[in-house]
Parts: sequence; structure tokens; C-alpha cells
Amino acid sequence: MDPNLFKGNLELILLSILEEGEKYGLEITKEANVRTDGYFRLNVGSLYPTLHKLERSGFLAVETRPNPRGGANLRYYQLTDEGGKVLEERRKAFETFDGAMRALWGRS
Amino acid sequence: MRGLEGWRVGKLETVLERYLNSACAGLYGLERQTVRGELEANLLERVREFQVMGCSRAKALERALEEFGSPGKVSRGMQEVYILPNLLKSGALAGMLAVGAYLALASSVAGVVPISLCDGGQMGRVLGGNTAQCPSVMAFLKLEDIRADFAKQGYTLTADHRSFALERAGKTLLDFRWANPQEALSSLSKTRYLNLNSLITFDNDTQEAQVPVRFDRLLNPTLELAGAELRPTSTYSGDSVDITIPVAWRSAYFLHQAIDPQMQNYGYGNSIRYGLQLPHFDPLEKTSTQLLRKVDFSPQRSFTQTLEHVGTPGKVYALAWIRKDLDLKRDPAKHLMNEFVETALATADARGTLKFSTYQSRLEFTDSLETFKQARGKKALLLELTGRLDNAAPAFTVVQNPPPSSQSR
Repeated sequence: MDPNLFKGNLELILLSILEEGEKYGLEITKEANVRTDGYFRLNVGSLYPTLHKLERSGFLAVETRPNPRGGANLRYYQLTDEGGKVLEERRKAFETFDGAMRALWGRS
Repeated sequence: MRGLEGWRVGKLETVLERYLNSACAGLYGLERQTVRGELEANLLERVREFQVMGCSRAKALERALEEFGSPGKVSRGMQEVYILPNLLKSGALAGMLAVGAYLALASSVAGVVPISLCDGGQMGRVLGGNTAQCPSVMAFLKLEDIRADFAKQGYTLTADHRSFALERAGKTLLDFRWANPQEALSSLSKTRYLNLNSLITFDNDTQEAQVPVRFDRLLNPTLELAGAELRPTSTYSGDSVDITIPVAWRSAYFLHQAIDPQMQNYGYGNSIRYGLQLPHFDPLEKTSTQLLRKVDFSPQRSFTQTLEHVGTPGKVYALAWIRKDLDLKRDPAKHLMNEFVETALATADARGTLKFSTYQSRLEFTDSLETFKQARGKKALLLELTGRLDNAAPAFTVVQNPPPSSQSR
């Protein structure tokens, strides 16, 4: 995995994962791993600061709930309406960019 | 994995605490509490999963920590999210830190004492979960100045990127290796700064503090190190530092908490410049210099508020007011506002005159803390600082009937 590509698209990755419903940090990590056959491997150093940044930007909302298995509370992240709009915009931008690159290489 | 060495050994809870402390380095108050709680919950969840898969608890924790990665990256990432934007927004970087100048000797080695970074309170071994209420010191001390002051007292201090040692009359008082060498010393231009936080470290086996250190009081803080009690005797000036009175950042934090614990708080000064904050970034990384370039260390205050004949010469006063900012955390479209207590500090001159730097063009005073809170930004407070911040002693007294201030640009 190209780290620059990954870093540049991390917000899009997280917004995409949360599009399907709320999740807490560890669930997001697993979801990214499973849905990409292990291609995306998130660690805390990139995951949590980006989640908090998206939260502060108003793109994610957070609900803190007790962990059913005990211990400290878990923070569940979910997409806000604003976050949904941003996801759509960024997805379109990514597709446009991807299409342009493919055109450049003569592939569809 | 880089940055994880040392996390794999020692008692389990200590290892976990150290990891979480390191991951939250540089964060304070509610933000630190939130990040720490979240990391702990997810980390322990992963530990449980590894245990279900058949790992021992020790192995499970080791695997979970390895999977989570370097705590330093979390800390750096979170500081980018929480610390730098706030500082840049308020233009207040110069007012973040305590950097003192110190040194008067008290005694020789007195054995290991509990670490205390709270005013009047004990952090103990940092294992009690009090760190959220007791933010650690973010003080970068100019290494050469400390070394010179130590020398005046007969001490020899040596510090490099591997270790920190203190000797007196050929006797070694301290000699230990940094737990996080990359964070212990930072360089700006050719000047090296010691991160006081790096002195806080624990022996994994005995859980005793490795360095007996205590940093105390709001004004003219005392630094106790290996039995030596270091007090301000001089002022330092550095590349970007011009300190007239050493004030601990964490103490400023406590001051704000005392004013209104419900609010987020920022504080800074002009006539008192606490010192210099170096970002917690590895100086070898490019991001460090980029960040330093972006940050303006000089106070950017628009107005000087002057109050004449109101203070006791030499005493320190705080001007407190409430600033409102758009709350991006909620729904920006609804224009919800966050409220912040802000303070500026000043020392009364020989005529009792106080000069504060503020963004506010006009400040109307109240002498009631309750009115201050209820007025929500329309009233300011003038506080005389007592110099102590602990549960037993008030942090300040509200100055009654302060005269109107005159403002100038």
C-alpha cells in the first residue's frame, strides 16, 4: 500500500466505512481490513486523530456508550448530514481523478 | 515496530498506563480524558479478543500494543487536532508554557520522593487515573541556562539524547536513560531545550519514580529534583522567549478551571510571557520545522488595557473575560457558539498600574464571579492571584470595584 495515497485518502476511507452505520474505533479498523482483504491496515496513530478531526469539523457525531463487555465507555462515530454531503463530494472528486488517470493510461 | 521498544516489558498495568500516558502527551483536561478513555477502551477490547484466541494476558497486551502502533504518533496526531489549531486561532502560542529560571539549592539527595505535578496535590505514581484532573507540566527548559544555574550550586548536569545525569562533589545523584529519547531534548536553532515531562518516568519493577521530581506553585514555581530544590532566581531570555515571571502552564489551566470549570479555557500573557513551546515533534522530522515556521511565537494582541493605581506593586493580576467562537464541533450551519474563558496576566508596577494585552476593545468590569459567568462575555473580571492553586487555598481574589480601563492599540 502506498502510504501517501493512503494518507491522502484517509478521511474518505473513514467516511466511507461509517456510511453504513455507526462504529467505534476498533470496529472501524476491522471493517477497513476485512472489506479490503487486508489492504488497509489502520493503526491508532492515523485512525484516532483523523476521527477526532472529522468530529471537530462536524462531519462525524459521537455517542459515548458503556461497553457491553465492561470496562471504559466506547465512543461510537456516525456520519452527520454534513459528513454525508462531504463524502459524496469527495467520492465524486476521487472518481473524476481516477477516471482522468485511467484516460491518461488509455484504460477504461 | 519503531517507538514501541520498552512497552513490551514490565508489569501489565504499568505498561498500559505508560502507553496511554505517552499517547496522550501534550493533551489536557477534557480532551486528554476523552482520548485516553477511548484508547483504553479500544485497547482493552482488543486485549480481550486476543485472550479469547488463547493468548495469555501479557501476550494479548503485547500483541494489542504492537497492532495499535507507536503512541507517539497518536500524541502528535492529536496535538495537531487539538493543540495547534487552538493556539493558532487564539494567536497565543507564546503564552502556553512555563519556563522558569531556577536554582537555589536545598539539600543533597533525599531519596526517591513521589512525583507531584499538581499544586498541592499528588499525582502519585500516575496509576491512579488522576492525570486528567492533573495535567502534566509542559515546560521546556533551556538546557544551557539550567546547566549554568546548577553549576553555580555545585552541581554538574549532563544531558544528551540518551541520558540525563546530575552529580555533586563526585557523587552521582541521578543517572538514567530517557524513556522517550526523541521527546526529551528538542532543538530550536542551536539552542537545546529539556522537556520537563521526560523526567517523569517509572521503574517497571518497583513502580517507583525513577527521578524524584516535583514542580509546584502558580507563580515562581519550585522545581525539586533529586533532593535539590530549584527556585527562580533570575529570568531567562532565549530565541523567542522573554520570561519575566515563571508561570506554569498547568497552573494557568487550573486558574481557568477555578474561574469556570464548565468552560473550555485558554490563557496567555503578554507582560508575562510564559516561555516557549516547542511542538512535541521529533526534531528530525520535517514536520517539526514546518510547524515551527507556521507558528508565530510573538503575542498578537490588538489592545492594551491599562488600569491605573489598582494593584499592589509586584503582585500578579489576571484579567479574565469570555470569548465566543463558532462551534465547529456541532452544526456549523446553526452558528452555535463555544465560550472560552481567556486570561491575560500582568504584574503591577511601582505605581500599581496594570497593563494587559487583549483582543477585546472594550471591557466592562464586574466584581462578582457569578455575574461574570451569567453575563456571558459582557463583563470582565480582575483577579489578584494568590500564587497557589490547590484545594486548600484560593487561587485568586476578585478585585472589588476596579476602575474602568483605558484601551489603546
